[in-house]
Amino acid sequence: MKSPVEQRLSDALHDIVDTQPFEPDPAAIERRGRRLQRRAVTVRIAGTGVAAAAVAVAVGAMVIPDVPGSQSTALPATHQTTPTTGTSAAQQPLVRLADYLKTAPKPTGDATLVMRDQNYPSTGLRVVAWDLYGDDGTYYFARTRAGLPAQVVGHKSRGEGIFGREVAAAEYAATGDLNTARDEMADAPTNPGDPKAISRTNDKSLIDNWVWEDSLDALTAGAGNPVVRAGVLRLLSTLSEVTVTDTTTTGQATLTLTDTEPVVKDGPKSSSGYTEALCINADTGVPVTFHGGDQAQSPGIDINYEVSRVTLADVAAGTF
Amino acid sequence: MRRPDDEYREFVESRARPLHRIAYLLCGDWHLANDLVQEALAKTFRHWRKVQRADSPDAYVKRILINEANRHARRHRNAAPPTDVAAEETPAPDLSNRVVDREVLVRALLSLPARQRATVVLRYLEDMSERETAAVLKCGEGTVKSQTARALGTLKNLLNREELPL
Repeated sequence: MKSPVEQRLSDALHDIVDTQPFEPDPAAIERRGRRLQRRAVTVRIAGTGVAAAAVAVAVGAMVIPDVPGSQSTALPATHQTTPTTGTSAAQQPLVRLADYLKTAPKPTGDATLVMRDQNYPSTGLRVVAWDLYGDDGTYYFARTRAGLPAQVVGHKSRGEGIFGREVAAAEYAATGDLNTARDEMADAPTNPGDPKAISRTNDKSLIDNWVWEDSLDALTAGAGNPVVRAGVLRLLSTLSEVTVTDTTTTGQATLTLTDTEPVVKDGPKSSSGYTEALCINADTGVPVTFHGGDQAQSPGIDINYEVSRVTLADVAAGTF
Repeated sequence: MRRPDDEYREFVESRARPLHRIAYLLCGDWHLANDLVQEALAKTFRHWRKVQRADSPDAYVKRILINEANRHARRHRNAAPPTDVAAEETPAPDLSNRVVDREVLVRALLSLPARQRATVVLRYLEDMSERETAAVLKCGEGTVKSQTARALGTLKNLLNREELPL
């Protein structure tokens, strides 16, 4: 039971705010939430070492000197020198590289080993993690290279099969119908049997965002397979928000793909344009570096990747 | 990596406006309130499975929102007062046979310590009980009582000084 004073205060507060309209932007909220989720998982790995969700992190970027057993021949094509956007014509560097990669021979080995060197400029924190992606869809994680054999021997595969589905979607995208491939990639994280996420939205920018994020996962998980890289590049060439720029990274010719989050409606303070930039080797499509962060805020995260091909048997035996 | 399900979207649709009202009374700026709500809901997305398992998802997201508002206030403690308060000159309805200016009331509210302000907003805008308020603020019911009493006393003093009594 409120006193008269309390009731008058309550009435006054309601009167101040009750007529103010507000329409949330669910797509922007989800995009922001997913990015927070990813950052959080990355940091969790830094702090505690594991978590099944660690899987989600693998997103980033990579610096890769080489991928044994995969392509190494320089592309015959000439790269564009100015940023280009979105249409299939404008994304020609990606399409051209994809065309080249999809006929490249599959490398030896049955797994891709990725070393993730993550740096957080705002705090000085550095985290190194090791990801092992089996061609059979398994995924193993360890804080150190030496920790991987126990994970494989113990069959401690993580990721709920998400990476396997993302890689499969990318393989299909290499030569398949791109619209179907986009749907497959956007819905790869959905558990088999669950309702398709894309059936619940017509928001193209949201689906594009899913394709972008899942494709980056696939590019990491399938970094050792040129067909997977080809499929990812074809998928990324469909994203109108993504710009492609010729760059040089640690002495190698690279392409930098940049995806900038639209500023949240009426909310420049909460979203100053979160940007993710993936740098790939211009001749191989292998990821080299990744950067994520708000344009006008803290530097976010920088990741360097080193990729190699191994066999699960060798890893289990500790001879990789 | 799973998509938010329909339940999350329904949650956003149903809670966004009430959260927006709370956010405004915590910060005094409608645009900042937009930002705080979007950020709070994004963080809710991040913790959605945990939120779903919480006794009260509603209390959970309110706590996130209040923490966001407090975080923003700490970062901008030397900033100029919110512009929306000065711009709003429409009088509120009669309180005790006298007209209370919205600007004065919001300014008085913003002058309260953060926890007292949050207590007032939850108790008198959201009509939450002392127990429910304590659950959101993660404190005891006794603390809610004392914070409420202090806040009401401060508000009455401030508004009386402005000749706008509660």
